[in-house]
Amino acid sequence: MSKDKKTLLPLLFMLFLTGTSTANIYHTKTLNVCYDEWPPMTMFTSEESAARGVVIDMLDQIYTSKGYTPEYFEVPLARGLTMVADGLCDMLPEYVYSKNSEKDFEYATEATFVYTSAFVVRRDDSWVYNGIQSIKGKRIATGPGWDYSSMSVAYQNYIDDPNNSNLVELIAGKDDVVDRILRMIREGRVDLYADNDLVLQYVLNRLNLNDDLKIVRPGLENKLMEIPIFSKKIPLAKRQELIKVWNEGRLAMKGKKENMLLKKYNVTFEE
Amino acid sequence: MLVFSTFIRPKNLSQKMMRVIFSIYLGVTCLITGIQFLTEYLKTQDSILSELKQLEETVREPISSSLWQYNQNQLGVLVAGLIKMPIIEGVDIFDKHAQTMISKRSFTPVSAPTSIFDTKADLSWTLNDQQIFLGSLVLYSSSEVVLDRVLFGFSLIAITAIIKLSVLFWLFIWAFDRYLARPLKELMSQVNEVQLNQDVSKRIILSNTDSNELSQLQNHMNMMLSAIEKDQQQLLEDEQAKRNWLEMAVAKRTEELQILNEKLKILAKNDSLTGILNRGSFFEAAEHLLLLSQRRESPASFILMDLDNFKIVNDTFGHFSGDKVLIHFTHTIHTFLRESDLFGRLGGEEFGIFLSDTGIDDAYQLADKLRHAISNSALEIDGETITYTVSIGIESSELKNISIDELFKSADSKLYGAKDKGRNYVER
Repeated sequence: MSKDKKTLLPLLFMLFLTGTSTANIYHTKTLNVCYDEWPPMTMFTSEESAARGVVIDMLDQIYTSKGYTPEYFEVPLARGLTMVADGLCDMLPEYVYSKNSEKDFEYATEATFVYTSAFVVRRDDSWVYNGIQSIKGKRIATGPGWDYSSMSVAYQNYIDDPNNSNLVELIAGKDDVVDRILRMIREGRVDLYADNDLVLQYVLNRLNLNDDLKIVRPGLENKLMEIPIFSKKIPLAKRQELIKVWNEGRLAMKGKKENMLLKKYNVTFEE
Repeated sequence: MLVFSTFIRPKNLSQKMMRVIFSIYLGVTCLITGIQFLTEYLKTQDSILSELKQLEETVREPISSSLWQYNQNQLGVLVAGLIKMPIIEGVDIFDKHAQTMISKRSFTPVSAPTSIFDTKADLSWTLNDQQIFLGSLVLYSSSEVVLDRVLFGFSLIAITAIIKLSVLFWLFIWAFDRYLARPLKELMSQVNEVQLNQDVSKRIILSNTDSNELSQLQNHMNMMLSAIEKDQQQLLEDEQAKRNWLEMAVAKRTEELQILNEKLKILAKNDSLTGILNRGSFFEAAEHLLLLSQRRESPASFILMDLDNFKIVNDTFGHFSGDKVLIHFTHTIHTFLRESDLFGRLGGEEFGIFLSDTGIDDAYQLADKLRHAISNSALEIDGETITYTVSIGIESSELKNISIDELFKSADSKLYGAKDKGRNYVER
């Protein structure tokens, strides 16, 4: 799908929603889902692949089985959040959990993923992470705003410290940032990169870089939790119904079903 | 068309000169304008190259960053942005192995610009104070960009050149006409007038009063005309003098000829010794007078005289003295004759007198006077005194229709009678 079409779709959708009564939407079984791209969790469909990612697959199974018809809208994260807040989208399937819940949306109770972080280094690099002192002198790549860095306060402080700026490569961009960083590691332009383990596995597999790079565990100290959010514009009863469907479905999926879905994208949870 | 062909192949000097000058000026103008165009073009090309350089410096870091971080999206956006810039006709990005990564052109190969120029820069990344070569960036611009940029400048130069050329051309024509063509035409007109009228006294007076070449030419021509006039005057005077001299010479020669003719006539009519009529002219005139007398029915007489014994005088005193005697005789006879009487030497010592309107009696009286006068005269020659006598025979026409020959024969017959009667005698 072209970029122009991507930006056009939400606008058309907004026009559609504006001209339609909100009550009518809520009384139908249609579920409007906004999502941004974050493989392998969520991914935009393309001409090459119709795969939507682990979370969308989960969502599709959970709500379809309950008689809902999800309709998906591929949008950037910031727009997706706004659309959820405005009630244009019923839910957004993945958002980093915060204790102080946002006023415009409500988290589901059941976490979708609680994932660990890992590092990627060159395969010939024997480096392992054993605290912030171990990355000193190493050239690190990071994406600005990537939330995994907050999994370690020391790591976050290290990359934010101007004294280390010559060792920190800030890679800006969209969905291609991780791809590019891994290629940079292979070329020796940077030494290591930390991210969601599932993301790292998926990109390494997709780019076929396993011969050159490897994932190093443990990663950063804490785990990060992701949970879907639901619009507060949805009437409370309806919202609670939707959250309940999610929570129950997600619990039912734990274990074997979840692993099957992960394997579809050639990734596994590893501790 | 005629004007054009006249300009191409002019027949007069001024047009030819104008054509040459205008052609040279046009050529020089075209050359200078061409150089201006070229200079403007090169200057603009330098300016665009400089802008390309600045642009390349501006985008070098983002492009290097994109290459370093394998940010194809950003690279694509940057190149797409670059290629849309007016001065950029093409962008090439090569990797560190000089292999083309991105090559974009704003033109199609079939409509490629005439010339393309570029600026090339290395793309690198600094890592731990080390320059890491990533590839190179080439930005292209073209003659079309330069021409677009300098179109206005070119137009100004061209318009300026055309205006300059036109103004100078018309100024030249005006100046040429004002200062050369019109004075020359005036000069030629006056020269023609002088030439056609052959009036060298006329002088060329131009309306141009400036002291320039034309006025000098006018002065020289006037001096030449003066010299010609003087020479002509001199020639006329010489010619007149020659003519006068010739007329004088001819008149003198004519006079001499007349004198000679008169002399010849006298010589032809007169006797060379005595100066009186010779035999031929005597008889011719006597015949004429005889006829005249006969027409008027008037008598005429013929007196025939012969000196007596003249041979003795010649033999005694010599022929010189004999000639003196004959001259003396003639002078003596002349003193007795009228203007209208004819007196001639008919041969040796024989003389004749024809008397118009004279009868035989009157003729006898005259003849006898003559005989007396001769016989009574004496002639002194070289101390010698010579005397001589004359015998005379007279015959008169007496209104008879007689010819001069018959009258002579009759007188001659009577002369012989006088001789027979003892000489110094008149027979009638």
